[in-house]
Amino acid sequence: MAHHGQTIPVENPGTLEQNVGQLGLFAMYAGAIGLLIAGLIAVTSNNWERFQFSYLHNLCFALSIALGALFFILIQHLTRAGWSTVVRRLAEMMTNGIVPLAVLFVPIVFLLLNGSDVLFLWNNKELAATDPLLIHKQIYLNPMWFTIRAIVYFAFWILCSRYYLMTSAKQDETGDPQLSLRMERYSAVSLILFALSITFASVDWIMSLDPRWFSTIIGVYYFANANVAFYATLAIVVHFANSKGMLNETVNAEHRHDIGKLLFGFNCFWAYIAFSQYLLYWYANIPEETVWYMRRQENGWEMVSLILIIGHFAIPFLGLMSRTVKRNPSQLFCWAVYLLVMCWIDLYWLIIPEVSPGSPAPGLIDLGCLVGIGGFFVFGTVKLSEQFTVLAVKDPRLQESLAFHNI
Amino acid sequence: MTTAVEEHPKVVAPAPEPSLAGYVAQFADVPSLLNAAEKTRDAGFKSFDCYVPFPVHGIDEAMGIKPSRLPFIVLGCAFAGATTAMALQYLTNAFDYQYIISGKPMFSIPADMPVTFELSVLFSAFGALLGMLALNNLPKFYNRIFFVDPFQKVTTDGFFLGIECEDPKFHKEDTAQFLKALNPVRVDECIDPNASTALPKLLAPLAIFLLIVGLIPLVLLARIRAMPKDVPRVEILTDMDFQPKLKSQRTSKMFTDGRGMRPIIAGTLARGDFYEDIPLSEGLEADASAEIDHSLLLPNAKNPDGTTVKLGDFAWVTEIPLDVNEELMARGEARYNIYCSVCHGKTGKGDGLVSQRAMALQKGTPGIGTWIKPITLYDQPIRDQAVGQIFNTITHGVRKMPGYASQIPVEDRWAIVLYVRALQKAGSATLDQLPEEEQKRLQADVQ
Repeated sequence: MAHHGQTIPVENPGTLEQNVGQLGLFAMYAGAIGLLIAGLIAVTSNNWERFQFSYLHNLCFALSIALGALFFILIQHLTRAGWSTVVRRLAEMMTNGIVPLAVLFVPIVFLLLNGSDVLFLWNNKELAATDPLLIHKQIYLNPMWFTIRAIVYFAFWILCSRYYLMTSAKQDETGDPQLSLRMERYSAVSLILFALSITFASVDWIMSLDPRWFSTIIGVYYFANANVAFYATLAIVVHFANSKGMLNETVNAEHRHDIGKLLFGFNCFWAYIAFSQYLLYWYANIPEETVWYMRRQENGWEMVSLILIIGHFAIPFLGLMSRTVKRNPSQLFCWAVYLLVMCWIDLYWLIIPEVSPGSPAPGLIDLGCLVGIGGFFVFGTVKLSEQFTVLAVKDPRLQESLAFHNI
Repeated sequence: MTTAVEEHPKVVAPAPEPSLAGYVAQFADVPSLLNAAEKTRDAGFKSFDCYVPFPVHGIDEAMGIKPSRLPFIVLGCAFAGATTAMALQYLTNAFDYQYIISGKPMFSIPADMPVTFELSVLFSAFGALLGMLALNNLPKFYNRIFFVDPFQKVTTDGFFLGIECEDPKFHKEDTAQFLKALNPVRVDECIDPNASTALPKLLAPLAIFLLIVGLIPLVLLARIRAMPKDVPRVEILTDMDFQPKLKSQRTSKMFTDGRGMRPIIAGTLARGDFYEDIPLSEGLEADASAEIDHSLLLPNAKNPDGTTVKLGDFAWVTEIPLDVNEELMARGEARYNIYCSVCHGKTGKGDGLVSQRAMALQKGTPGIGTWIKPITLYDQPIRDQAVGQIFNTITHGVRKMPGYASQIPVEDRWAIVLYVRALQKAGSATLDQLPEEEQKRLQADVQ
């Protein structure tokens, strides 16, 4: 019980570099080795297509964590949230991961501009000129315009996340409350732009893999998944930080409880959105819409669909419901790891059936790409965040966050 | 009642004695109240409560209150709602009243999800509200703490902590001392007047009386509906059974002749009819049509003297009474292929599929067959007919051919006539009428 009116002393936990040491370097080696192995297997087994899809899938997965973090930061500022100040800096550091992902996205754009139609079928000139559906979509789905859009998304995400990180870091020195107000002022417009960018990015990179299919909810679907992935990652990061003796005095059961609540809530939100899309398509029974679900209901993909229904929704719904589970560090950590795996499977289910409709089994290529992209993602995140303190030490709402109590 | 009534001595319950129900301490602000709550909790008191004008964070922990059991009630209600919804939908859709809707399964889990979700939420909401009321012992019509005078401040700026006498640790002097030591603004005794909390004696009979009176109309209605009668029963909900509309084959009180179905007023024309335009609707010249007995135009008609009618003698129109253009020709071709080609064949030769099949069927039975091969449309007798007569043939039929007036609208019949004329021209064409390239091509084919 915090005693009212007294300030709680805050120890400066030091910069990330002082806390994690060689993690970034290790992640870089892992990333290089992972991508190299995946590439080698792809070349030797002549499975270059699968490599590209797997690469995109893991890129979208890593991106979903970083975008979830960005959304989290914007929402905290917009709602003047106090409780989350102790973990906000961790989220701000996570958004740095968008930078290495932007670099990793370059090969996809490069191949597209060179006329490759392996990933994006609509880039096949012959098909796009003859298919009655694709003729009309060419105005949006063409390599040049796609590239411009990708640049715009990444530019906005990087600028926005850097702004919030740098401003918050400046506050570490000055403690100026004006900076908080300024961040709050920009958060609303940033959120609108964020919603648009994540929606169109989902349309471009996930929905257009099957260019004849369409779903108006795909952006929200990816967004819901991004939130689950982020809160799971945040819980994992907090757990590791505490096990390393970092932030032990600041992040307590109350904050874990709230992270758990958000994880639980957004997981239910994901189920709601996923089911909304499924019900309307499957029950309206219009072939051009149901074909996408058919692909995910045969040749073993029905097992993956069932894993998502039961494993991504039903099990965590019951498992994460209890207050005790959310407040217990190791139990919350286990559920977070579990849900992060489920988010990965969810994106796998979104993307991979377009290249491998006949078999849902993940292979070494997927593992290599996961380690590869994940490694570079962690490396970039750590490298770019090294000089920052792991806690917003002079944030005007830090006291409120430290004294935070769930009712 | 002004008459004096003699009083009988009654056994009266002893007047209630006011008793000490507990102590209520007022505090200046939230921190001191929280501090007091912690101290009271640590002193081992169980039966005490805090009263504040607004929610205070952390007060339940300070008071040592366990987390509410309400979530479990809500969870149970949610599962009950989901189960109810599923069972309801299964019973209605798949068991009790199976009804096929666009070939979908009788019991489809995805389709049942929205209702299941809604009912889970509804039951949860009921569970949350009623469970909250039950756990808080609400609604409470009477609370002795309101007899404490300063307690009125609880809705504005008063922070109170009350310890009740039911607490096993409660002691008249010690508890007062304990509270005074917590640095309150003031400590008051809470005196329970122990006034009777029994309901007024008249209330129960009155309620029963009102209930019975309220049932009378329902009972009467039920009796009326259940008794045998020779007049129609009283309809409580008529459900639009009795409507002041005319029904067919019934008498009407509205008209003097009593007929419900009214005869058509003389001179009424149906919309879309062509009575005005005789050439268009009959294929006859307008002035001739008036003198002709139209029954003679029907197939196999006989003159009054018993001879067969010669249709060719009538005054048929010789020009198609519509604008003849490419569009009409295309329409005529389409209609001809739909309605006529099955017997007459695509070229008018009389080799349509129906005709071919009929001929094949009667092949082994000479003399018995009743099928007459349709006439070749480009034979001379047909080519000599006026367009009006061909139109009449399509309208009324001829020999075995039925009339198509009910199936083909007037303009389409004329379009078919035009196309038949084109078929006749094509069917009787000679080589030199063709364009030169066609002639060369055909000669090359022959050689």
